[in-house]
Amino acid sequence: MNGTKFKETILPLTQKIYPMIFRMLGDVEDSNDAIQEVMIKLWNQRKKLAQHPNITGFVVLTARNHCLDLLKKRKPQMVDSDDSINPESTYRTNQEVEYQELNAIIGELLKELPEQQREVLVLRDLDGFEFAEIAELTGLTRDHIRVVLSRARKQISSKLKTIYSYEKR
Amino acid sequence: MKRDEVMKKYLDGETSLEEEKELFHSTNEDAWAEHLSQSKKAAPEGLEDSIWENIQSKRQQKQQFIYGLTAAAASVVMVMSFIFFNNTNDTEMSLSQKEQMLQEALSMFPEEKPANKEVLYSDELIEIYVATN
Repeated sequence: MNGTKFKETILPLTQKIYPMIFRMLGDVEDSNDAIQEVMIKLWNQRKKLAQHPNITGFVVLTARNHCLDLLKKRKPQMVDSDDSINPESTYRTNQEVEYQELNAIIGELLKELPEQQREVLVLRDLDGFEFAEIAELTGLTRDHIRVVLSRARKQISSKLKTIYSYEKR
Repeated sequence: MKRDEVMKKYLDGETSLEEEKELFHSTNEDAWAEHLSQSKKAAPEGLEDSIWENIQSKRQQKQQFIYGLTAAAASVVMVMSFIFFNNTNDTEMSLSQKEQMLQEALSMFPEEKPANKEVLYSDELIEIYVATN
């Protein structure tokens, strides 16, 4: 794969993998650095990449593995226990507080899901990956992904309905 | 297709990414939709260009390194060739030197054949004998 082909086919995948990288690393600067490193890794493997049957899947997998490596190397961060008395925290808008509450609830609901269901749901709904890409990442078949995803969505929907009167009709 | 039908398809895992996008884009009263829209982070503008510039810069650095390495290797080859060439000239004899050495060797043998000799071996090309007085 030459430079032009790489620029046309691989580089635009930055848009596709960025949400996942940001979700995994949780920081804009770290995400930008990580995506640079991933793209350089892919550039160095461009000959191998050209012959891959599922290029997008390979790119997504490379990005995820890179983030997992970064997370393993990351030192545990100190949690600021005085956050509740931080003056800045008192200036949060109602919308921000509501969002944080929702985020916490959904975080708990996701934790309750079996690992496979949580992984597939996050890859599809949060990261926006196609079934083929999820199959490459998880090693599951498309039909299996559909079943797992459906179970996860139904469970989250049912719980959110109870909490927020989800799906107002 | 009505929203309820698309929602059913969504819950069954049968919607496309496009349908899912439209489904959640069309409402702001859905907790899951709100969570998805707040959590998703798009790539910053200009990131692709910056990545490409970085790749190009690394590519140039690599090329410069290869040129440098090639130049160093070529220099080593040149120096080695020079040394080898000089050494070869020092050890190799010229034709005249060879002829001189041959004459010197021949002069060690008497010009006349001895009168009394005992032939040890003889064939068409050589004769080995011991001279006896």
